[in-house]
Amino acid sequence: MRGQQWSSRSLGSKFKHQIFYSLIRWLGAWAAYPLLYVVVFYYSLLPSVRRRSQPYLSRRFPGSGRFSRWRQAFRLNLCFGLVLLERAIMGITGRMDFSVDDQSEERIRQLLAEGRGLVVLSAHVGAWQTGLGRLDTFGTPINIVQRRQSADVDRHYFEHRKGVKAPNIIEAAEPVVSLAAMTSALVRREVLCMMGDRVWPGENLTFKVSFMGGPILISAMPFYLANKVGTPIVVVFTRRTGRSQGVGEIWTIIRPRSDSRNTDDLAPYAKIFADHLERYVAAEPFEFFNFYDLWNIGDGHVD
Amino acid sequence: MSIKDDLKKWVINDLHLEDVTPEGIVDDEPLFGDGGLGLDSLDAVELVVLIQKRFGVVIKDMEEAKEAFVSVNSLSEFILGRQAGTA
Repeated sequence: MRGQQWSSRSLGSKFKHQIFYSLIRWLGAWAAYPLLYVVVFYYSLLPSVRRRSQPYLSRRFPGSGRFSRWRQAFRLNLCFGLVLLERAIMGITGRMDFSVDDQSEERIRQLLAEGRGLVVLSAHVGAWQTGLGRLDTFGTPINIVQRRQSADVDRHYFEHRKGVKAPNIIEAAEPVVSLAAMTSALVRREVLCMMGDRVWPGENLTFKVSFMGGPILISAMPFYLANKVGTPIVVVFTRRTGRSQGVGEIWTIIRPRSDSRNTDDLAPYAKIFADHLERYVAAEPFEFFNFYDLWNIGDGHVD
Repeated sequence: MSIKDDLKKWVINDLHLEDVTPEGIVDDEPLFGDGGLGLDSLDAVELVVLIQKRFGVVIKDMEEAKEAFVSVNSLSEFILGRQAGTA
């Protein structure tokens, strides 16, 4: 049986999301937290919801009993809920204390000063979206690649209020046009943010790499683009450090080099990314938000 | 030599198209997909780099890419327009 496939479909309805937005707007952020705990507890009781995190949790915590597994699913769901809630709080109230350590900040400035654009390669971990949004402090236009399906009713932080500076969104639905837009962003020496842990439906240029004891597919695009344009890749992971607080850290810098048109030459770079992500997951097990079976890779990959 | 001829020459050269001649590329046929030159999404990456390197033109957004990357005609019009400061 094939495992759960990725979908950007939101768990709650638009109306349920609106309740949280209204609470934050009219009563303040504090009012939304208790409701979040209740909602997460309810959803964590549903087997259909818990199944979404099982492929990951069974690898991260092998041999756990039923109660421990339930508790892990609850914690994971809660952390995800907190990240989404605080994204809304940031969007509505502007409150989010997100920092980048001095060393990472200086390194990003140096990479931007090279004048070849910058691929910020991250993953669905920690407060990834609000964190990437804060890259605008570097004074270089930010482009974020996303695949948003119509059933995804979550609002981005910049969609809550007028006048909030929004990054440029490159919708990855049309391969030719979106790849042209991504390349153009790098040619313009801008920042291009991509998620390395997500392969879009229908994407067939991928690398199979080992992750947490099994093969997963990693998109070849970040590495292909960086190689073509000569852009460095900075691997940045974010983590939540408290209420409406987060930090972004550089984990490594990758400079893909291949003169060949054979994309297989770039596979080792994808492995570097996967290894760093695995180390992140070892350190922050409840901040890894991929609620589908990454290890269900099917066919069509590049070996 | 017209910009269309230049464009065809560089597309064949930079995208390493085999068994394709400039004369064999029809101006209004699709660049991508079936029924034309048959370029794929990875070629879109090469094409963006090509027009920047060879013609000094950079695409601004997805809308521009959608309009420009249709055929040799549309791409050459886009390049000429941008060079003239009108695109």
